[in-house]
Amino acid sequence: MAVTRALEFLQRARQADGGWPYRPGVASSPEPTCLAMLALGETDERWLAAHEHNGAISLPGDTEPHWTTALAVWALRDGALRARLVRGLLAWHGEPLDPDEAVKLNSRLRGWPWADKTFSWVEPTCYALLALKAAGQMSHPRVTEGEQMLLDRQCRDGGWNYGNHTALGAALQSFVPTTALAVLALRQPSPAVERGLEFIAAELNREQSALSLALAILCYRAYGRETGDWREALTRRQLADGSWRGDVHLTAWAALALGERNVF
Amino acid sequence: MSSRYTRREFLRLAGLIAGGAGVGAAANYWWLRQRQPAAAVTIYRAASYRGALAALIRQGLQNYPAVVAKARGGRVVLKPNLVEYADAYRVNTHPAVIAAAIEAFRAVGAREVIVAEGPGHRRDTEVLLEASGLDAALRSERTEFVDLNLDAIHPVTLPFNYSKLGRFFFPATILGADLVVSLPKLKTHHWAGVTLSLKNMFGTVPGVKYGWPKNVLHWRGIHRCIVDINLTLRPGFAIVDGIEGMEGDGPLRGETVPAGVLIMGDNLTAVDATATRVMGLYPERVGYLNLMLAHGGTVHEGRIRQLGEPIAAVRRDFRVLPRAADLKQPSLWMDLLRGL
Repeated sequence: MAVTRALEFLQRARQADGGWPYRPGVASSPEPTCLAMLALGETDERWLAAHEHNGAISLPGDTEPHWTTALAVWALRDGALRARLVRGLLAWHGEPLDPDEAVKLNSRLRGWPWADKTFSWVEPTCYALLALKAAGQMSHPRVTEGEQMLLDRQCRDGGWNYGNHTALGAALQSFVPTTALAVLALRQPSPAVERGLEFIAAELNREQSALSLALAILCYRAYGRETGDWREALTRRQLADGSWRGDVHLTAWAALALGERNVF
Repeated sequence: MSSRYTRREFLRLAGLIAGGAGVGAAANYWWLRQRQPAAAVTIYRAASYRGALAALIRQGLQNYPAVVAKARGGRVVLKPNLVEYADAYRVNTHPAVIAAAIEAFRAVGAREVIVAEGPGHRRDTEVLLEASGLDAALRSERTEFVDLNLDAIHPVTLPFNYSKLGRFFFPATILGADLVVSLPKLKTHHWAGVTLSLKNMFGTVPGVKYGWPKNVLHWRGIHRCIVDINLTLRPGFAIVDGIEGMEGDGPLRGETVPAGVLIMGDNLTAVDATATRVMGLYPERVGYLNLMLAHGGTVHEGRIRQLGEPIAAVRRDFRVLPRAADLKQPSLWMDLLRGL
């Protein structure tokens, strides 16, 4: 029932241009479009095709490669557009940095950036790994390097944050959503993944949100673990209109978490 | 190939050039200082978050009739500093100050008051809102929150382009406001020196375009980007939550200082300069404040009329990290030009 209402909200939120906005009433954007397509199993790619520039997805009004190129690869099942985006994604990378004592990262490892010509960060690297693995590029050297980058960024508490485990000598705290994405992106069981799963369970006792619950459920399900009462906790946060906070991308994540579709 | 100059002649020439550059820099500093527009900054004591903060802000607004005129009948967007949920009350603008500002701007006749922020590290705004107490405060005030990271965005050409980016994408909520009010917390910052009303405007840069963190701002230079953002958006008023500030390893991991002040004004550079002085630091040492001197910003103490409490009555001695130790030292030019 909760899933049906969520999918109905997503159907209603679709705009005339074929895309989805973050919230009803604003312009379509690539992230909610890709996630809604994934949740609904939608194959109509016209909005994404209209926002492709040189093998990458761009924001409306922009021509620079955007981090949602990976989400588009993930959302599309096959076809020429997906093939171009895969090539573009493999060619796009974060800029390496000279080693910096203040942050203690292996800053030469290249993952994927949020914005063109900047450093690599955890979340866009997770999306790129999920997308490239879905596209059959499991053993591509960029995938291997991206996984190494994620392992290098794991925090002392076992999870991941935006992508920096230490600053000026202080250990930084992880977040549930980025940890769940990293564990999903790594895909294979390992001690690092196990620590990530433990961090999620511990942290969800302390902090819950629609995003953290949805990603935690997807993550635990992917590794064949019990999700306890997280599904009920997520359902309790659903609004009367079928959405979570009225947000399309949150509702899409929640629908994926509560539904039966396997997108990994 | 033999040189036309002896080593002694070369050193003499280099000395002359260096001396000339020094005199030029001093003259430029003096000139900029003299042409700084007069500004007025209001400081009120506020010992706790339980006080009558809305009344204080309303009282302070009366010192700025042009700001009240802009707010009256208009759409006011309040931009607090909401960055982290752990130890939220130490890190973020306190919900009581945000609620007080909402009430104050409604009281002077704002048609609509919105609270908007685009947190820089966490995409999960829901958890930030709930854990910080802002969700409850906004429900109580029946006020909408806009996540600027996910708002509709539009490209805007940078009028001065210090960052060399040419243009920034900004959220429609900010671009469509009649008055943008920066509501920062009084904090040190391990990269920028201090984070106050100008630095707080970083949160208007949308994550959907620039990511979490907004890394491009660091690549292009924090100080230059702060200036570009403020010269483009021109926020019209600032209220600094200095009831509890943060010293040391700010903006996240420093220690609380019960500074007991609210600092407000319509010249954000002057507000930040005053707030820096209240922290016991030298604003002339803050890179972005110096850049603002060429654009109507006021840093020189003699050009800022202090309303409410004088700085001396509320000044504290905020600790800084060793890397920012120069914030505690007057600059050479300040020493040379003192009294001119």
